[in-house]
Amino acid sequence: MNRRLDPAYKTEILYLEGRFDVHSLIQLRTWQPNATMPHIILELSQVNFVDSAALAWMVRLNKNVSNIQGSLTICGLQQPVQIILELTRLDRVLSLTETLDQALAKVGEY
Amino acid sequence: MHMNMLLQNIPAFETIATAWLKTGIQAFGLWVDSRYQQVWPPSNTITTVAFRAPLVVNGQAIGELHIASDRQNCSQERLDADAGLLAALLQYEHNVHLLTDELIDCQDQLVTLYDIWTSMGQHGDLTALMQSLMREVVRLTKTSNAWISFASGLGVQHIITHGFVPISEQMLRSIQTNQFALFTKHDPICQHLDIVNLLWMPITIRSVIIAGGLGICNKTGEFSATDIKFVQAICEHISLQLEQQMLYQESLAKAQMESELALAQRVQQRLLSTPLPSVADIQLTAHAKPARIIGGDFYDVLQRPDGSVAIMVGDVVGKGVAAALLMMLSRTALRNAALATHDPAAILERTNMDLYDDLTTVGVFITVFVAIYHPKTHMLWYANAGHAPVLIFRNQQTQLLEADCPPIGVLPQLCAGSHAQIMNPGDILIGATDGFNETHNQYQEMFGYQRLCQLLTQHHELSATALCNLFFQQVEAFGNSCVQEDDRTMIILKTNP
Repeated sequence: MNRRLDPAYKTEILYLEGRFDVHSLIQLRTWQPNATMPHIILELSQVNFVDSAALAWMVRLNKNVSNIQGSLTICGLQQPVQIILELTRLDRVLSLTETLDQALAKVGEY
Repeated sequence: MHMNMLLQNIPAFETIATAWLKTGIQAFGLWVDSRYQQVWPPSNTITTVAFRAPLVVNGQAIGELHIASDRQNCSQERLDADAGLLAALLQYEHNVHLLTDELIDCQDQLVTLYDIWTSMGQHGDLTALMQSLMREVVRLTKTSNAWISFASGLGVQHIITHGFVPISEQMLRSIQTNQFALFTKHDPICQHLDIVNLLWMPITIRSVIIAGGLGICNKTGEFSATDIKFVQAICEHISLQLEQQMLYQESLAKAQMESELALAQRVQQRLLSTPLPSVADIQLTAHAKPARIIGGDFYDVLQRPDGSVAIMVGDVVGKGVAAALLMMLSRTALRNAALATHDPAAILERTNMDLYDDLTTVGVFITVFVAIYHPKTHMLWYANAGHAPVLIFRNQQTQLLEADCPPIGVLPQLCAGSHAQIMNPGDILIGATDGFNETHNQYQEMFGYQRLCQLLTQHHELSATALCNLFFQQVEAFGNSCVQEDDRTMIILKTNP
């Protein structure tokens, strides 16, 4: 996982790759969103699979950032990941965009 | 001490005195503590001292050599040299005594360590063992007080003392570090406590965990390197003993946990193996295989008062004990809701209302598929809260029934919708959990939704039970060399052809 801060947008971008599952969540265990960078973008263009634990983590993160007046935007979904989000109807709960630029533009609207 | 040393070396003084007497002097005397300890020849007394030389040992004058003579050719230089020689002899003697004492102490400590080592297993009570250890430490280091303090959570009394330890809890915390420490009377802590000195030795477990430490104070004299090594060895013994105790407690806790898990497994299997009702014109079958002893998947079938049958399958995020606990909670909530209303969407809404706060607190969600089948009309009403895969076979093809609302526990209001369709003879409904489609083979390929659909299309003529067995066999064969990562649960409703 790589991270990049975009202070202009008060945004932290997390770049994930490979399988986003219960094992990769271990490296996110110590990471928490903070009030100085309340907007989070998950860049998943290199992710080919998400499991239910990762879905639950995204839902939790979505709730957590709302509590600090922030937002969560997920971008760059590959087709298998898009299908999982659609089948579970989490696409209705989570904010999704095709590209990182669109995600940043969306953050700019907040 | 000096007197003893002098008396033990009288023969040496006598040799020197004899040599002097041969030069014609009247008498040779050893003057200690303002009197003559010995005069040669013994019949003489010394009234006037012609020459004198001090005996200096360790920088301290412990006596004098006196000569009585009326001859002037007697040499003061020779007497000084003899005094120096005798003083050096006494000095060596003193050093040998010190070394011997230290060796004896060291031997005592080694014997004690051996005794402690051999008696380690005989102490059932760790506190009693620590007390006996401290007693030995105090005895062999010639100190007056000792204490052992332990971090909490080790299953041992917090502080065990030997003698009065004049140290407050707060002060103990200030000196208890993970480093060996030695305080002398010049250090503020010793002045504050009115003690001569203090030695603190930490006790570590597996070289990492700081378990506590051993402190001793009021040593007669100074702490020697032997004392420090001895205390260090004692602390290492304590560490070993603690580690054994921890391993014992861990194995005990593990055995207890395994027994509780076995009980939980029996409870869960009992709940999931409740006989399914027999309903006219349909076949019902279900099976669950958790990835661990207990799992988070569940299914339920119940006959409603109006004659309809409620079929439910769900998946709690996660695995193991936490998921199993939530699974029990969810199953009960769904069952109550399904008995209260015949509308699948209302069942989901009500369950979401019941569980939302708890699930949000824990940070998990539950995917659920609920269907109500009416045998008289062959109508199937269903609602899906984020659950996949749900497959339906009709008109010679299989399709996935997609969810129309997110899982339970994600939003305070689900906005679920109920959908209806007629189940014609031969139609099949399968509610499975993601342990099927997410099974991986050794090439990291997933079984996927497409294979599930193809399998159902190819084998739709099988009975519900045979189909269920086939799905489990095929998925297990696919992920043959890989560990089952997720729970697998399947429920099948097939209308008789």
